[in-house]
Amino acid sequence: MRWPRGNVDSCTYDRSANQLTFSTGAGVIVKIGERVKTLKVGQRAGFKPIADTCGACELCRTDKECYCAKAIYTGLHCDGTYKQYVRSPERYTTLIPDGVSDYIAGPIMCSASTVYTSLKESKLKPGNWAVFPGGGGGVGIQGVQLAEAMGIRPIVVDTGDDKKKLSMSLGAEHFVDFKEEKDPVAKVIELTGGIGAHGVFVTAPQAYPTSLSYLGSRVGGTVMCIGLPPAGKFEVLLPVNRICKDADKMATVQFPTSAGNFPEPGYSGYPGIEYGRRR
Amino acid sequence: MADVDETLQFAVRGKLRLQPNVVGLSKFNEACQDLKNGKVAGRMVVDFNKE
Repeated sequence: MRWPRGNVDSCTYDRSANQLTFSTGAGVIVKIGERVKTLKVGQRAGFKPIADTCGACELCRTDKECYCAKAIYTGLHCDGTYKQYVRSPERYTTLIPDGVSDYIAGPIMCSASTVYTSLKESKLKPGNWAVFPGGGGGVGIQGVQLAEAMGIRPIVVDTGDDKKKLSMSLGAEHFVDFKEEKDPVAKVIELTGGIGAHGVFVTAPQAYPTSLSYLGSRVGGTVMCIGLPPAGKFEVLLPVNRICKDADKMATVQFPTSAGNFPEPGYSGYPGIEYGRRR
Repeated sequence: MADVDETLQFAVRGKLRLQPNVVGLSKFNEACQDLKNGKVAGRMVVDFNKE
């Protein structure tokens, strides 16, 4: 979505380029190239926001290959998934296991695996509180399910009955409706034993300005930056005292989702916050 | 790559169980507008094999 909307400063969508948009998808292999060694026609496979990387650089030789400077972004450097057939290199194609429907596998290719990496890198432990501002949306709700599966206790801050119902049915322990609750931050702090969350997973960029406050007085809290805001908007004011309290503060922009924001490698929009790897 | 495979395993075990809103091609534009306006709870999937 963000490519065509062109509202992320680090990348510009070239409307004259003949590339179809959209980044992720799931389907069935209908044809293989003559040099393909392992994939077979009929296998189910997924297509990710990065279609390929160089495979040879220092980053590609580690688990940071999504930072490869020569990465081919789906929907930007090659056609995206808004078409019936796409071409995907064998090395970078993900096979979909039996029992996982295309409807579930498609979003995993980006949003769910993104937030999964973010949860892992947050170093939150089972029993810790994780706040998901905008958690009723596409990326956040994947995080809620994964957090619950990892033993982490999700609190969703969002609005509306639909999102409340969805969040509570998929693993959220609490839902704080920011339109009904006078002070959502105070509510979250109350819910977390009067202290504050251990981690805040920001998928909705509008939540950045308030993201730190959900940590309350929690020492060693973590804000994970997942959704990238439009250029110059929704910044985080990071007081030094806060950094001192959060000695192990780490924030990571993951490869963000089908809401799709793609920072350039090394892109860092927030002072004091280091952007980590993307998937 | 590895994290995508790990995430898929959560789905195999039924831990990722969100049923997305599925639309056919004819509803493509509306779906994009709804997403843009924050009206979608959860995920939206466009099925290219549906009208």
